[in-house]
Amino acid sequence: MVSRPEDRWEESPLPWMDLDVTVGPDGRFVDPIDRELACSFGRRWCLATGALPLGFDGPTLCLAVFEPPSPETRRLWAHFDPAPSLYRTSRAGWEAALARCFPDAEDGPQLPRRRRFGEWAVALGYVTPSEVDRYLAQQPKTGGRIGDILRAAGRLHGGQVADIVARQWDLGRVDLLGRSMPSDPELDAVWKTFPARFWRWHRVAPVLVDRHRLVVAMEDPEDRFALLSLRRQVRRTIIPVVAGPRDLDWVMDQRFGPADLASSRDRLEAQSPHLSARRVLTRPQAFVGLALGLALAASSAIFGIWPWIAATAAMTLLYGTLVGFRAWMVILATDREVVATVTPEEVAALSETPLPRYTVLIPVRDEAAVLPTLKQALERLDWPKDRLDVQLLIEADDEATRAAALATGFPSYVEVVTIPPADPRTKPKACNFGLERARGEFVTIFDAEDVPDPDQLKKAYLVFQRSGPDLACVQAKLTYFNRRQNLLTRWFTAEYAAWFDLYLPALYALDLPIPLGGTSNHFRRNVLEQIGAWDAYNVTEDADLGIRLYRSGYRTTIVNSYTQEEANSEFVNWVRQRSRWVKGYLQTWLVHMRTPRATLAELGWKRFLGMQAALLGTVLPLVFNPFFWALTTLWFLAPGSAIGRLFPPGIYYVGMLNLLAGNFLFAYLQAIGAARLEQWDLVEHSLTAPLYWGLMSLAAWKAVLQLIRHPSLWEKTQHGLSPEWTPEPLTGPLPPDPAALQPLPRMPG
Amino acid sequence: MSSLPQSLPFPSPTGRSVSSQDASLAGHPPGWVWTLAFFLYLGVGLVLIYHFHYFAADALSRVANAYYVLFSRDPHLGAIGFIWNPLPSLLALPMTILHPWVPDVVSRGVAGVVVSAAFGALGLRALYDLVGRLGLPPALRWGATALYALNPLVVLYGANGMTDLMLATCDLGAVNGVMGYVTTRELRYVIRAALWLMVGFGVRYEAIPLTVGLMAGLAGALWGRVPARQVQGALILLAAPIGWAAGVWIYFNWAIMKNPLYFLKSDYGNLAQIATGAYGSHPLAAAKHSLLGTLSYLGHFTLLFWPLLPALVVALALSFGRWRDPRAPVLVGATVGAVGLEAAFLYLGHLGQWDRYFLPNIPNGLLLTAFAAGQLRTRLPSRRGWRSALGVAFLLAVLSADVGTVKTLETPGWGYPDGAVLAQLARGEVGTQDPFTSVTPVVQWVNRHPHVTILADTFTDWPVVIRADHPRQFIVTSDYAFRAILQNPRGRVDAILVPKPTGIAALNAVNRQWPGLWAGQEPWATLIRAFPGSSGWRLYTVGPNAP
Repeated sequence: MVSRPEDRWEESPLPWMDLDVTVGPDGRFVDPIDRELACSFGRRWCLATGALPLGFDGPTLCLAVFEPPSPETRRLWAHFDPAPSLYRTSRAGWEAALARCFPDAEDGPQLPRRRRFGEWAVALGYVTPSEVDRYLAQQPKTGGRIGDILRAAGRLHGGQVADIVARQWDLGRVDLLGRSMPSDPELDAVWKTFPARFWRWHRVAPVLVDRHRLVVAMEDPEDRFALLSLRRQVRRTIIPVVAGPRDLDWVMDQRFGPADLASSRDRLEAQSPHLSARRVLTRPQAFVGLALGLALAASSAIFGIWPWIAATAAMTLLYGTLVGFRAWMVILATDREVVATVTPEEVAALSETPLPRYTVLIPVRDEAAVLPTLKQALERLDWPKDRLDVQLLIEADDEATRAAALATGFPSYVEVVTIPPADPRTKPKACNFGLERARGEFVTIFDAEDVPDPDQLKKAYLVFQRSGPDLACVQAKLTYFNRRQNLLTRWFTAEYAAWFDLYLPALYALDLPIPLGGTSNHFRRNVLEQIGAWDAYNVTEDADLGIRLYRSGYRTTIVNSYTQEEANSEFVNWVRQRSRWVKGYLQTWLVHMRTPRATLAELGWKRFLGMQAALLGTVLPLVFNPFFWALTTLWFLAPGSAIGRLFPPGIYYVGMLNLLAGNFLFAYLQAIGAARLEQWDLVEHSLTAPLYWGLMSLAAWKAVLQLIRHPSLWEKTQHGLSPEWTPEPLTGPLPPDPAALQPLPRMPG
Repeated sequence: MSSLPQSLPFPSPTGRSVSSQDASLAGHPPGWVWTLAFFLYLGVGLVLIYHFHYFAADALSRVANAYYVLFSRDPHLGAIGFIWNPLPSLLALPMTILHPWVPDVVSRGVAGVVVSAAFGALGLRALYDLVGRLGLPPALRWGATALYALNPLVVLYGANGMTDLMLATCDLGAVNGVMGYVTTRELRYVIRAALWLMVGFGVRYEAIPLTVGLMAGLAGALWGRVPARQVQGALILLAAPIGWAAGVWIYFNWAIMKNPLYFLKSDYGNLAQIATGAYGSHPLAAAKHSLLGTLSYLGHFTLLFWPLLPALVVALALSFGRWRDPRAPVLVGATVGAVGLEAAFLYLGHLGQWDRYFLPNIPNGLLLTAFAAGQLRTRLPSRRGWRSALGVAFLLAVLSADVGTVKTLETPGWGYPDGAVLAQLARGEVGTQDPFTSVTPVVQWVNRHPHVTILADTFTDWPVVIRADHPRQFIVTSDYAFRAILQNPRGRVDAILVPKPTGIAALNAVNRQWPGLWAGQEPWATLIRAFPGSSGWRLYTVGPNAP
């Protein structure tokens, strides 16, 4: 629902600017309006948007407005990067300034416009008139331009759109795909005029330059901001020519590929080296560890068994505290609804016109089998497809998946991105690579086997809309579609239910840091870039990112939307995945405890302790369990032995109660999680979950050992093992036209 | 004012919660009610202790168990004992720390009174919720809660540190949870119920049949309305915590006492005590191995809250058939389950004659009556006069039930021991229920001889130990070396305290190990002092020829 203008002022107060002409100190008239700039936008644009360009503040365009811009108007500015700065002025002042800029009240368009896009599309024989009419009829509802709509619907491919646009604006059409970039110092200088983000964001590439002219290939010659910025910086006449999206992708890859790769690997390390997990331990950490070990050894020499008893007592206490905290969290979550809730009615009422571009990153590796399902899942996403920017991130040496991706026939909004081969071969590195190319205001990640609820993007968007700018991430819940495959998948599903439906929402309710799940987390792209995106060396980059968001003053929420994944149904595969998670949690804890004082200062005591509980509380009980189990057994088998002395009855019984209570709580919480998910058949299996805990401990110890030997080794989880590949519910809204499900026509040439 | 919806308070088939409806039906009383009730019970308890010198021996003994954990020669958690359920002692344990400065927390059992008063007050919270869930308006909720809080037996057991009202509170909490679940389908309620049952097991073994009863009630309420898987899942969620607690208890009995069923088969256990014949009566004898006698006995104690039986009939009728109400089987299950253990023991001849075993009939009877009243209320014409009349009738029924509680306890041979207690208190008699009367000479002697180490079985000798100035001069039952010293006392202990081996004192460890000692038939023991009093304590010195 669009709010009234006066309400919107209160939502976003703007600085005031008087547009009257004043007399400067030198006696000359000073006009706050840059008339040349205003003229280059045109009177019609100013009237349509209610904004008058004032000038540039660095790279930022400044606009004067007399009423708060509507979402629809903001949509027209979506391609401005950075977002324009707005100044409030009076209506009379605004109209007077407009009259000064356009004294003859004529709007001289920069480019002649002859026939409409649809007319050209029909004239070129790409679509029929009835198709144009059909999609034009959708346009008022969804917003977007007809070219993008037809392309997203699979009726046109990018090259055809470029053909039409070139004809429409009577511009040249250029084919760049496969061409090597000329080695021209002047052209290189033009490239360097703007950061990579500018070229990518505006989809523009300089292709030819001389002393007076610059020829740029672009997808959208209506992008006045790009043209103006270029003219101001390059100080040459800009001659646009039209190129298709794949041509521009090719050029960008040629130009920025190596830099993207380096950035995807080292971005965080360059930005905040102390937060990178490239090194497992810092020197002070190693020193503290060594000192503790030596202290224990030395005190044992003096006090005998007592230091070990003290250590055991401390472990018992820590264990009890962590398990108790987990139980408290879960009970808290059953007591009330603590996730951000978006109702189906709210989703239905959301106008699609102002929706921004949304980037979906999907890192894929050795997962050719799941691509058809992925395609189906993407097609069901309820978001205007012309504003979807899906990137399928595939390692260059993963030929099979790449070939399968090309053969699958993904829609045009899915870009198959090839990541050059380089270590570390981790998911976060792939995501960083994708982020460099991302064009969405929001970014989310899905795994290749994921089937998100169709309305998940809209729900996340609505949560962002109704939250403050400090909300940087919206985490959807994860569950499994093959939960009934075997006992392992049943345990796994119940565990996930307890984690995503109870524990994480409780952390959110208490305003504690949330270790994110590896998929279905939705970010504001600018925040993600600001904090250094994902750590390419952390094998649970999601958990680490969750903590870093809180350290940077942002927060995360959980939304009532699910993504279905494939539960690991094979034991060895499961151990690999679980050990990676445990290793990553340990990595993350070590990273954030390198400078505990700084972490404490940034998080505050409450969140600092919450972080300890979330990271250590997840891992330490798993590591301690075998220790307690073994000692309990030995205590009975050899009473009075050294083990017996190590566990005086007082400590022993409390420790044993801890162990028994911990195991029971683990099982019971899983049962609650399963019930919460209304998967009642899993409740009975949850009672055997202590066995599952045993398996988790096995994986935990593998993780501990691997952390020492191969800290950044990413043991890829194999997907596609489930015979019942029928995710449910696949009942989301279909695209408007069933024909849109047809594969994208191959690019000519 | 809330009112019962015309349709049954059961969620829609989608299984989604009906929070707004729940909010209109349930709701806690203000916090001051809890505080007031707590101080009421605590105040009454202190008056009973300091004015009437009334002590409930078992309550004191539970506090004593907590006391041994910290103040015996071998302080350890296991000293809390493995016969009675440990929670009351565990809750009293922090207060026993105050013993060096405020001895009365232990020696007069004040710690136990605090625990029972707190439980009693918590029960009111659950009861208030429940009466609302059963469709009665606020005025009747307040009235019912007040009349329950002031029931003489409830007041007595809220004030005397015993566990019976604690169990009743767990019963109310669990019923409230299950009722909340069947009416709203919100998971939190079934979890709360499960936790209350687990707490109940920490208090009394009766929580197990109560769980069984509630499981049956929950299954009855859900059956046919939700998928069978959901019924099974909900039952597991309800029963798992108490099942775990029972498993842990058995495990600890095995690990520490070397017998997983020690709590059941111990020489000190209730079964052993009953077997001495000390707590028999004619009605109990008539009920043994007689179904009719058992039912008659159980029926008599429904008179602790006389509307229970007619209301139970109403609830049973509404548990099945066309007018089936999901709340009815829950109430029936709880009512039957709460006295299930007593019924079984009664039939088997293992039950003692204590009237307090049937205290849960009071809250359960009240709930059934409220349910019946709520049903009537929905079926009566909606005129104000009818509803007012029904409300007055309901309150009169509860009030008369409170009076009936006293009358039932006054019945000779049935109301043991509280019929006599209430009568004595009503007459203002002081000191008739004081287990310390016969202890004083023993304690005086012990305090005059602090250097003498004495072996004493705290099963019977606890009044001496908790009143002595120097508890460490005793070797008590929970001490690691107790058994060894009892068998070979020479050189390890100066004296042995032994009660006259009659009644349950025959189970005293000294009497079992040295049956002739009290009578002076052990040649290695020399009588130091025979103390006056009904317990007939004697103190023997351990001679050089002792084993």
